Amino acid sequence: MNSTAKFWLPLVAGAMALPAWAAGPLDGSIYGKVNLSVVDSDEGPGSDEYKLNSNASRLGVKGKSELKPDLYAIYKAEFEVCADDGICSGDSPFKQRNIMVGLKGSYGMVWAGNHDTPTKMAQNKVDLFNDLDGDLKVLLDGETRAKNMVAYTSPTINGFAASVAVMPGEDDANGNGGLADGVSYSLSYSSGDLYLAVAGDDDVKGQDLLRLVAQYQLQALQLGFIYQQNESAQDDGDVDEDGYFVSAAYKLDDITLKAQYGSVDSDSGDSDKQTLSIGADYKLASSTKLYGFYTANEDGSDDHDYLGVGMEHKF
Amino acid sequence: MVKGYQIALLLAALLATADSRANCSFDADSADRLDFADQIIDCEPEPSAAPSPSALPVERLYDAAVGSAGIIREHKVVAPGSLNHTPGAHYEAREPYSLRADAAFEESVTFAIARLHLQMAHYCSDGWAVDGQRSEPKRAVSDPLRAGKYYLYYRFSCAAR
Repeated sequence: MNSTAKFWLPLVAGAMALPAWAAGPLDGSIYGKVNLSVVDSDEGPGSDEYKLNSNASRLGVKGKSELKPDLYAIYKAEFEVCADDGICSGDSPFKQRNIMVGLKGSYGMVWAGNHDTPTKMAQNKVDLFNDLDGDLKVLLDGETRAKNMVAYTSPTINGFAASVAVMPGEDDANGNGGLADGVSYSLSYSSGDLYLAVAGDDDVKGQDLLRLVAQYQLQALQLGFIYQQNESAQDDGDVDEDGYFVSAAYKLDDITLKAQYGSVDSDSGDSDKQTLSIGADYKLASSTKLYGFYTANEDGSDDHDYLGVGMEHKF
Repeated sequence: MVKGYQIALLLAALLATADSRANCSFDADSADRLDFADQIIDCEPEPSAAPSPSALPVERLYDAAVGSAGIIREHKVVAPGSLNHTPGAHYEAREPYSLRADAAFEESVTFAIARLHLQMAHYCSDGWAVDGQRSEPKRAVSDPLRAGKYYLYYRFSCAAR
């Protein structure tokens, strides 16, 4: 367990467990989900085995405090819990996820923390097999949870919202001692059933990136599309990719049929990637679903196949 | 390595906040959205464990062992330098009144209310809220002359500035 998690877990939990009147207006709530799947995982000779996967099960606390009319302090501290083998990071059953604090008013929100970048959040669940073996991150770079992020998110005006985040490199010895050694941004537009976004990174995890996102809900059918270009931020880098990703979900009462496909072409030789996933969710309640899926991933010359069933319960 | 007490605290926190998630559409996936802050503001319930007036420390503005003289007292509530106001401070004041037929003019309940309002304005010059009121008969009812005499209590708190 990293030192931040060791600090937060007992502190936050202890504070939440205190009688609320003991120290003023404590507020907040716990949320999370447990998502476990049994997967027949075929990752080549010697790696054809059944697995129980935890799929980013998590536990978080979040809250707001209204400091003045229309001025809120917002916080969120989320940790992955590894419900399969109890080992998330090192020998710890916990691993840090999104943690932030911010001030939100009519002007928008200024916030900071260790958090998903605006580029990652702009995806808006186009990825229908998120956290499973067909997760978008197996195909596209840019699914980044950035350290040391300072961000501003605008209010939504006529459907438009923007976020920009800067990340100090905290490495002056290597020329990364500035405030904005890395930058991530997004501009999104929502109107009814339509969602559009353009997002990008500048020298985040060593890459420059541009991502376009579109999502449309056509009655029971949800369609999603992502196009992305990314390359090494340094001239002598070896990454130069462009790819696309499409997804579709069709809802039939309590069953949702899902499929998604993505492809990335790389200019750096044998590292083209593809992913294909099909599956179905069966909704038991608003908080609980059963699901099944098949995923085929191709990364260069490596072919991986996954067939699994699982259950997700949110709380 | 996570200690046992850390897990216990987490479980305690779960129990302590079990009711606060009612009717909230926020879920674990909402936390990953671009508009997660709006989701938190919209879904997070207002602090549900707000202290009840009876659970707060209250400063009594009277000596319970001593009866009031039952006269109107003046407070310089508007003179410069005399304004008192502690946001959120809680007080309890009382004033006597009488329902006896032979009650003096200044012992009427109307004057008791007026005196209580003077005290509230004095201690909470920027505004106040009455948290509760009650009436109790004067003690020592063995004295028949006190039958029909009461104290009117106002429990009040100063407004946030």
